[in-house]
Amino acid sequence: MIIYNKTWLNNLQIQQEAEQLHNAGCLTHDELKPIKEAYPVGFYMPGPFARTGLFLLTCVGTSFSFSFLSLMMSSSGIIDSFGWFLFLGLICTIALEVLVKSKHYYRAGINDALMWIAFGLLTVATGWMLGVDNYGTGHTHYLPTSMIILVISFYFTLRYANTIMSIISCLLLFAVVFFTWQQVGSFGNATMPFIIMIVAALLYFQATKLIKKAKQRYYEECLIMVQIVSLVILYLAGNYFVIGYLNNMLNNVVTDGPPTGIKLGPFFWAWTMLLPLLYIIRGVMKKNIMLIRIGLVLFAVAIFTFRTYYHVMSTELAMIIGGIALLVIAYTITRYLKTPKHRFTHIDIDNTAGSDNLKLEALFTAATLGHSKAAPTQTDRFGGGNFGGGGTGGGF
Amino acid sequence: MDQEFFKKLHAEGTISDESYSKIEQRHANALVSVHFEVRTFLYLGILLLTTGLGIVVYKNIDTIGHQAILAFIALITISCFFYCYKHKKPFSRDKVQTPNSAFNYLLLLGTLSFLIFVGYLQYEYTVFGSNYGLATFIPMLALFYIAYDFDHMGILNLGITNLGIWMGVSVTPKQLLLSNTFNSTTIIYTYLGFGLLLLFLGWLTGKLQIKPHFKFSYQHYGLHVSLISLLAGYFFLYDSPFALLWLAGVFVLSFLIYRDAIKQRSFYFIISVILYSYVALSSLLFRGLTNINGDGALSIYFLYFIASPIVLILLLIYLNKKIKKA
Repeated sequence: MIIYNKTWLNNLQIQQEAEQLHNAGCLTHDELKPIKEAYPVGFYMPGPFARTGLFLLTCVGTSFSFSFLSLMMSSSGIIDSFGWFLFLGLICTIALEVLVKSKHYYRAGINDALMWIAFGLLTVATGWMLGVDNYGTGHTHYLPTSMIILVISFYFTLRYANTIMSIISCLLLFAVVFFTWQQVGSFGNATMPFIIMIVAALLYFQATKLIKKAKQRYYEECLIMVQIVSLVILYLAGNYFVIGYLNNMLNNVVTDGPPTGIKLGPFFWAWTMLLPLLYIIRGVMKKNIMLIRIGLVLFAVAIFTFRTYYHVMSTELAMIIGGIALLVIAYTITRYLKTPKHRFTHIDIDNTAGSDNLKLEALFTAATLGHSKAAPTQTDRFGGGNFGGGGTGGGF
Repeated sequence: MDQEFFKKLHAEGTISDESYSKIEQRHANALVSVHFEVRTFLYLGILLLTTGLGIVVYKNIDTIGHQAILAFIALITISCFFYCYKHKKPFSRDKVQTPNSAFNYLLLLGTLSFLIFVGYLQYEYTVFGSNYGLATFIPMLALFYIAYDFDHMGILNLGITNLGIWMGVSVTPKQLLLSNTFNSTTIIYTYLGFGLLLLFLGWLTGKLQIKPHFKFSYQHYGLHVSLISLLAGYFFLYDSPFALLWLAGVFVLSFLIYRDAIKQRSFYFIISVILYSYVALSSLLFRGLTNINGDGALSIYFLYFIASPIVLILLLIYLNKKIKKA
């Protein structure tokens, strides 16, 4: 199903592995070279900047070509239906297929742009086709629309193994489950969180199972994305804030205050506060850094959820305490892991913080902190003060 | 990839015994690094703490008293720098490895609180009077000194932005801004000068080999600031007969940076100058076609925007290959 040359994909993985070992000092330069020669990769794979540039240029070129085509066809009235978008989307899909096959583009920007344009056009066509006739008849077209888009995105995921597309597929799957279960009626609305939780848990375990199979290794990154999305959805399905929001939405209640009429409130509060900790503990036990990271981010979400309903302290006090706590934790971890313990270390083992990452971090520092320090010295005196930041933002 | 594969390579003789044992050892006690998490914690912690303290100070300015706040900020600054000086490695013209991961962040915290200290002094006691040039010049000097002495790229970037502020403040006097009659060409010229100065500093960094890894920052800011101000100058003085000179400036500067980037094999700079030149070229085309009305001009626009991306894509692919081979 995957469009790329499988031998090359395997070789690419070998090369990356070997380079990682080389960076870690396990392979000498003279050993790396024959490995690379014995396992060649024929893809056209530019670097990140070239990829971005090619992406932008392909978008400009394609959109102008399609507008020009539409302009020429405008007098015939053919472009006033969803069929025109479907047509353009199919042209784009075919062009993508042909280009990737003949030119061996792999993460080259050109294929990314064409894939997203094709997906966008096909989505618009689907929405138009199913949505137009349904005005005034409620939201019945949501389910078929999300189903068709799910099929489209699933096709692109399988064919091009694109990670972002796999995230979208995953979200659409949850949308389909949501809209299907909504059809059940009030019972469906009441049990919605549990259904979403069950689906998310099943999806997570399925992805975990698939990831171990050698057959699926081309989709490894996509499956990791599926794991991440399902873990996050599993949490959000029981998050108190989300529950309250959805509860109001599904029952057509408009209120600014705290949600009313949530049954099993304590259960959802426990879910909100404890699940992130569970993720972290499980991650530490399984040595799974992904679980730990998701747990940490969701823990922050849990704190924000809590603060939405209970204002136990002022924002600035919370910030100070939180900041000190973070610094103390970081210090403690560094101290504790001075020599690696339980297979954890605080040292950057793969040397991934190479020169490029450092540079990006430096730019990020200037962009986030640049203003706070400039404010007291030059308030109101110099209108164009954010120009330096503008230069960063405008960087390609 | 599994260990079997490297076993095979070892059997074939591609990998030496020594390397293979290293790989096996690495596989046997594969470590999980929480490096990224610890760094994120430090960064977020500093951000939260400084912001929270800032809010507290702002809200309680009447009760705490300025001296107490200033003393507290000074204490943070001094303790951070005390730590950093104690753990600092001696100055070198090359890249200096940081002693530990906390070092960079404590240095950043110290620097930021120093800046707040200076800003506070100026705001509350107007130490520098109305001499705003001096008020920004001293922090700038400090920033550059810290960046070079401690080898901190983030602080260098802060210094560069501060340099811009200082130049802006010196060139556009307060009165002009207050009376709302300030001349835009002055700003454009200032920024052009700023950008060119940065490019020159970047060139000098490479030439003299003082902290050569800083060159990227100078060039990054210099390139965008000078090319944007050249384009801005062109559009601002669109109707003047010399407007085209600005565009010529874009092309000349782009060409110079391009040549340097080819030498450095930096695709980021190449793609940047190509995109800026593309904007310049396109605006030139629009200028030429404004006098033609009707469908003819429209078709030309469309054909241009269909054909030019394709040409550029081919150019980028060609350059990318050229750089990889070189």
